[in-house]
Amino acid sequence: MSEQSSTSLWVERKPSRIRWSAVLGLLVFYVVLCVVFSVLSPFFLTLRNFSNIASNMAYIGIMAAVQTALIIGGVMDLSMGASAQLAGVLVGILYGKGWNIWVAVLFALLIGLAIGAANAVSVTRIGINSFIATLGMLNVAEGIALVLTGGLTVSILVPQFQFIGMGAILGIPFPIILMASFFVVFYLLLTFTPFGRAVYAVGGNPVASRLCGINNARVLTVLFILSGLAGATSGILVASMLGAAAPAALSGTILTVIASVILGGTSLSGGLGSVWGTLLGVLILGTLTNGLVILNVSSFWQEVTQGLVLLAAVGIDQIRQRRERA
Amino acid sequence: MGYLEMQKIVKSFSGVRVLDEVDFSLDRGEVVALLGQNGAGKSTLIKILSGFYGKDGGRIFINGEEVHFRSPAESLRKGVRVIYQELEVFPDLTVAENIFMGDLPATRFMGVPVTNRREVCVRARELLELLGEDIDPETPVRRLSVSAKQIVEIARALAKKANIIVMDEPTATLSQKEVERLFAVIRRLRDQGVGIIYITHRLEEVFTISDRVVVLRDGKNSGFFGTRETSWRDLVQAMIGRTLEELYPKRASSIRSEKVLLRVENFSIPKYLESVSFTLREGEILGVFGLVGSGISELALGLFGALPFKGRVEVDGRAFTYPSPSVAKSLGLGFIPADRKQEGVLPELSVVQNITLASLESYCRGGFLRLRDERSCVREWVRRLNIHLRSIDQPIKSLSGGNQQKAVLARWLATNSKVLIAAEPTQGVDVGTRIDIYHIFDDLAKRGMGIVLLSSDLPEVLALSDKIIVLEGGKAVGCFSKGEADERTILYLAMGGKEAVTH
Repeated sequence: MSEQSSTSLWVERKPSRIRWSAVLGLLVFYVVLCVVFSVLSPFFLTLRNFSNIASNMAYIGIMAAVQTALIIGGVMDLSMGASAQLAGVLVGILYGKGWNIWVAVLFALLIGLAIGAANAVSVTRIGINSFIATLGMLNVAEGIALVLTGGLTVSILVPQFQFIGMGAILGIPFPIILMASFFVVFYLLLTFTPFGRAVYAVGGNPVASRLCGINNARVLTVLFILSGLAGATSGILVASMLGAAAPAALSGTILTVIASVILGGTSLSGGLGSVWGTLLGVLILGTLTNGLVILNVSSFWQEVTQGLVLLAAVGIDQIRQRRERA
Repeated sequence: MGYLEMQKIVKSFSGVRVLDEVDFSLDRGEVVALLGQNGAGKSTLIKILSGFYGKDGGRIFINGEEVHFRSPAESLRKGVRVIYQELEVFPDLTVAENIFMGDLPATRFMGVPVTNRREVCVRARELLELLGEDIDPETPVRRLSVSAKQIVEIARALAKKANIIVMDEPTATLSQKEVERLFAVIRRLRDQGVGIIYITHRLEEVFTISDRVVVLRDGKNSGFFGTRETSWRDLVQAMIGRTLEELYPKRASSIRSEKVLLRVENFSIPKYLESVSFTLREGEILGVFGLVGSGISELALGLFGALPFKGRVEVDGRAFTYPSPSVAKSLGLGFIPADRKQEGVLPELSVVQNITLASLESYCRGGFLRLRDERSCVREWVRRLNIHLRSIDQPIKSLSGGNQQKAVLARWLATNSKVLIAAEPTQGVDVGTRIDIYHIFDDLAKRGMGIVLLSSDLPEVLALSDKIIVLEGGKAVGCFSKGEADERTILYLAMGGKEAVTH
């Protein structure tokens, strides 16, 4: 049917609002999920519990907000979780060597930035597919974290540093504030700046975007650097929450990150998506885990449920899109 | 009754009638041209014949027997074969293997079917000879030219005993010599009793190859002609529903001053263009005419910095040194790419996002976009260019080709470019939009913009341009000012000395 798009018939079609309806659908799903859990357990529907959910998902949310921008831009960063891991480990090791904790944090952020820059070079200069380039980087960063620690956990018990993961401002846990600021900043960036528009353009049709005078390579470079920084931020947050950095604590988180983005309705083919959908995706996955824990469901079954929810959500969205098209 | 008879065929997509009681017939040993604009319903009709779409109404008879195709396989079995523009060959298999793909002649060896390479070759050679071709059956198809690949597909159709062969714009990517070669093959097919449906929008070809012409317009039959009894004028009238004269604007030169907006000297792109020079003045429309493969698309891309070039380019007195589209834009160039789908639109993005993509800075205050300004500006362009849409937020892919093209045009008008480089601006758009685009160009020139119109549509170039450059084989082979150019000379130059790519 794709050839039909070139004929005048399409004028008659309803303007598609697929993506917003996807977000709306998720919202409904989220509410239903909450209702079900609150019926099943008296401990679920409390402010404290929801604050817990959000705090626990903050490190995923930070990465997911940025990953959304990357996927809209038609690329992906699989190395985010590994950058997070390496950043956490670095803070621990450097602090152990007597560095000031904030200098160690700054250094870890710089390493995140460097990882992002390296990814950008692989993708934009050398032309490696972003999936492969960042998969390679994932292994490199994770490997370095293991080498540096010898596979052991490094403890970081500094009261000021604990604030990042445990503190609160006006009663709001700091991780939530951190995550919220990432979402707001990326919302503003993607919606209200020429850069954000360029991100959609590069993901939507790189050839046309270049012919509009957009420097695709520059856009992608900025995205990858932001991604490295977000990874490092996440890693620092987790290290602070746990009071320690374990070299393997975050393997696998990248899959949850990507699952949240896709669940939120961002198209893997680029050019379409929003951070608010992703936020809902993050909350749904977080709430699901939380509710199942409260109901004493084994963590193995939690995995299964998460997978099924992702498949169901994306599947339903696909079916609806096909129906709107037909 | 003809060998193939399609009667009162009706087809709708989501409530819109694309075919409205269309009749079509074809005899064996006959070439019938199916003519019509984009969107007239040619492809849909063929897809119904080939079993790709089901029909909503009407009847199809082949050899007097009514048929109901539910799949392409059923249509193939009745001897219908469509040869699409994107050829369906297996590049790494040999010519012979391609021809017999699906049912290679095989002998049984201990119960297992084994292909006899020599026999396959002999039979492939026979088929090719029937078409008057001597392509070596052992060559891998990858090494063949486009036209030779086409001939392999035709031979494959013959191998399948096709009685009806449909060719969908087969000459779109062929050079003049290759076209003649294809026509020779078609005549041989015809003489062997095959019925051929030849889809095209090139009128010259209709007169060269067809016996009859069936014209479609807006999903309806708009004319049945015997090729010998008809004229160019009649066919155009049937295709567009108005006369040729009404299609192109009567344009007086609007060159404002001798001020040069674009100066191009010894412009070369390795392998594609050699030393092209011209100047473009304020309010001038410069036509660059060339056939497919002449280098016009490369010239367009190169002028906009999308291909690395050698030579000197000055835009309004400033030198264009580093080839990049963003530099071109900052110098005041605008660009309508030839391939709207690949290079022009961003399909999933909204009309607003598509139109303002090249001019975002002008809605920017303190680093942030003022969405309200942006939207009102888009509304203004939509009104001025008469773009038909339901909402400026709908994805651009849901607009018709013509309206998409206008949106791409609006994108560059919104940048206040001084010079517009327009490559094939009316390709694949409906007649209404075509007329609109001509008037917009005329209007822009009157306001002092310089336009380089690169096109393979000669009547359009003749009607609009103040000066015409003819491109052939990457070189400028002629230059005419308005009035001294005549169609025949230009076509002759554009086709002259072109070497066919042989297999």
